[in-house]
Amino acid sequence: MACSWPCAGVPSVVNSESKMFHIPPNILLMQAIIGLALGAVFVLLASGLSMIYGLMDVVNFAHGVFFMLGAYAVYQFNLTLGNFWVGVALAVLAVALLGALTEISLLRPLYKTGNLLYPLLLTFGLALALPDVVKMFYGLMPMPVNYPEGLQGSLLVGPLIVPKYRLFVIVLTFSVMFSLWLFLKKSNLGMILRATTTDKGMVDAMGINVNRVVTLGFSIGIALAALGGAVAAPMVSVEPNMGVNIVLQCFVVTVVGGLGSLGGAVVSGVIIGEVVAFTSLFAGGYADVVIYFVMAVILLVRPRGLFGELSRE
Amino acid sequence: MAQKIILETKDLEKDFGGLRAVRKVSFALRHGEIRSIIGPNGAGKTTFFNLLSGRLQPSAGSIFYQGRNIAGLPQHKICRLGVAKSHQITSIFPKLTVFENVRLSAQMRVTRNNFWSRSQSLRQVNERALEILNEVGMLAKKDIMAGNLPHGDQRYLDIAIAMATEPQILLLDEPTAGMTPAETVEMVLFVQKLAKTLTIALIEHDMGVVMHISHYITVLHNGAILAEGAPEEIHCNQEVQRVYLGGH
Amino acid sequence: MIKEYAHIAIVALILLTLPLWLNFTTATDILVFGLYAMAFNVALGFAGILSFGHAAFFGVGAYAAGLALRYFGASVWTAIFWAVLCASLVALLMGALCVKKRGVYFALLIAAFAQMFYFLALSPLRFITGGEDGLKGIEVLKLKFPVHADLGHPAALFGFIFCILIVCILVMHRFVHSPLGSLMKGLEENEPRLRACGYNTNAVKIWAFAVSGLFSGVAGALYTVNLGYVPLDSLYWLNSGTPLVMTLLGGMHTFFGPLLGAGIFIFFQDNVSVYTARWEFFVGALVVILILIFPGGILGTVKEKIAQADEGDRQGIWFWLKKLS
Repeated sequence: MACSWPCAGVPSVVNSESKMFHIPPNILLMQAIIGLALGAVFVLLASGLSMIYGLMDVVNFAHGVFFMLGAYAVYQFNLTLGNFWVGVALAVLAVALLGALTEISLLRPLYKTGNLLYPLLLTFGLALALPDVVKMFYGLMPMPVNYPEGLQGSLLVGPLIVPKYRLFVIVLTFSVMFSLWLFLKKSNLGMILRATTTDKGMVDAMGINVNRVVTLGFSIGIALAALGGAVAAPMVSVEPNMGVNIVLQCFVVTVVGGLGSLGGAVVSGVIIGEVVAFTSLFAGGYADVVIYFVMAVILLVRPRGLFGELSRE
Repeated sequence: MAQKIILETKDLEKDFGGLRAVRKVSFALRHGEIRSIIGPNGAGKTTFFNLLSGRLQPSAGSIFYQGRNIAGLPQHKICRLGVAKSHQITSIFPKLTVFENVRLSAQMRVTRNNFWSRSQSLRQVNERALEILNEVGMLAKKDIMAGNLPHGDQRYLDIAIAMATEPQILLLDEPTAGMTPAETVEMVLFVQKLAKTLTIALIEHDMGVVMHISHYITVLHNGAILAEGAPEEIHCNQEVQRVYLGGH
Repeated sequence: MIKEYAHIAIVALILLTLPLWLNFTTATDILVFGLYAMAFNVALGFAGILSFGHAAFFGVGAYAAGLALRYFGASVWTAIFWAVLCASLVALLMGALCVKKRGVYFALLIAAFAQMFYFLALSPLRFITGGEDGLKGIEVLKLKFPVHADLGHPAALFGFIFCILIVCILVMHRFVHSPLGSLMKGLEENEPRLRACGYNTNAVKIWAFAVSGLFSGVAGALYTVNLGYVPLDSLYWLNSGTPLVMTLLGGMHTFFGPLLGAGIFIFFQDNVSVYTARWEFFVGALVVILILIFPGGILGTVKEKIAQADEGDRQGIWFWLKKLS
């Protein structure tokens, strides 16, 4: 059974045939960390998606594509510049800029129609078209992105095995989300962003250019997706369709957390990351689909998601 | 007017987050009445109507329709029981013709699941729709697309759609809003004609209309009932004058 | 009444001529996907329900038919019957579970549920579905009733699928013009008002979705009959985008728009994909352009132009074109 992408990079001591009761606790802990790292990527993606939805009432189908572009960008910058860290930073900036351009040129003309279907369908069109563009330049084969030096391998803390890179991803995501939270809560721009998600009319009446706020918010959301792709690049297989699979899963994470809720995206991302990681440990074949079962259960029990707002209808 | 009470609320409340829009409203509407609900903007009038029609669920309190507690029932069930509402912001089916608008509503009493008959062949429904269009005076316009109607006609259509559900009680939310004085007079006559067969409650800002048409008036302020009584009493009520002169 | 069915007859005639200027394969594909797109449009264009999970109904229909043919030696009619039954049940169930969600939530929830079917076919049930390779080994079909025909012959296959398509079109047409069909239109235009008129709009949505799923299932069965095997991809959620693009192209608020869209799409797919493997780029770019410039699709834009034209122009062919949509 081919191991789906969350398992990539896991040392071979763990395989999908392991029986539950024979696994030593330090392996379980390592899997928990892997799950957390996976959850971190989901958090980055889902919070970006949530933010865009909150701002524009549009579910960005192309979110997975920007994730994919982030991964390819880091591959390219890493290749040309030889530095992973610079590569990540540039990848995020470049893709965020692309996101801003997309929003301004393609999405903004649609707002005046008042029909929420059109922007959604447009992002769907992008989701179809852009992977092919990438295929034209990079072909179908997965691109290798190596773990940066210093983060290869694992830390051995007594009997505990802690994969270094995954720890880094967790810490990075935590810092980014914390900064985002600070930005939204404390800064002027952040408050304007939050106000725009609740009441565009009011912000407009205050003389603030709502279009620019929306573009900024969209770009932040895309930047988060790109960051997710960039940091995921060494862990997974970087190929043109990597965004397609993840966009649906990412949407599930967002819906479970509650569309429009950043806190929900974080909690839900972590939970689902862990669920997927442990499922791939005990029942490898079901890792891809367990997400949908979780979603089905949660949504039947609590339709608006964990932290979703009832009024957001 | 010692008629039976047809619609009654006891300590009805509605909260939105931290905002209490309707506070402990105990209200009784008698069969055959024309009751006006007045009050400054933000007094909770439309919210109150939305509670009565089931569009919103109460936070506390009860609503009795013909003796039966309907608080908490979904909107479509309350409509079927006989409480219909027209809207403050006109709500119609813009891409259907005027006739189709009313027929869609009239259909409800006859069939809800029919997927085989041709809509044209439901004679009963079609005739009823034409009757109602005649009553509101829009029969000649029946094939015009609803979205193309002038504002005043759209408000009549809104009411016609509500009438087609065969209600016992009709709640009219600002029926004369945006109308010229001539149109307002016509609407007043129309409401009086309706009141011969229906119980009517209406939200109105036009004091002339209110004083002329109402059997009773209920004044809402900050979500609670400030005063209730016959038009003459309300007219002389000091509190009411203060609230209106102050806020209106 | 004759007038109304006249335009269905015109469309039928046009479809019959397809094999004359296209080959049988393309023509039959157009019929199958035309049905799929029209079924999809029952939900989207008529009831206003967007779903990204129609691949589930199409795929379930395809597999149900395939399994019946492969393992039970069923006749074509039996296979179609099972496809209809299974696809409708799935649509009914999924619709009922998800109905309380709004717009986008609903669309993607359905997609996620649809992926479960994909996974089921890929992995746990692969010993019967053939997993990644798809369901193979279906024998060449023979039609016994009402006429004897060898469905291996392209013309017979085309004729058979054509007949089924016409029957489905007639049923869909009747449905759309029925009282329930009017409710769906009301749903699309102003759901809150429909509720205020005393209708349980959730029930209407479920009905609409079930009907949409039913006909998607028929399309899936025809797909199987046409191809002779069932590819796993027919269940993949992203392929729910195919009827969507066709509907957008032809015009989503028109009855025959999706059929037209399917025709154009398949025609280009069969002819352009010879030149480039980058087919999805064109489809995606097409969607983007359509949304930005012609959101009404071809027939929708034509309808608009007609509505804007003078009374005097409304004679002859324009009038009939309008009737067609």
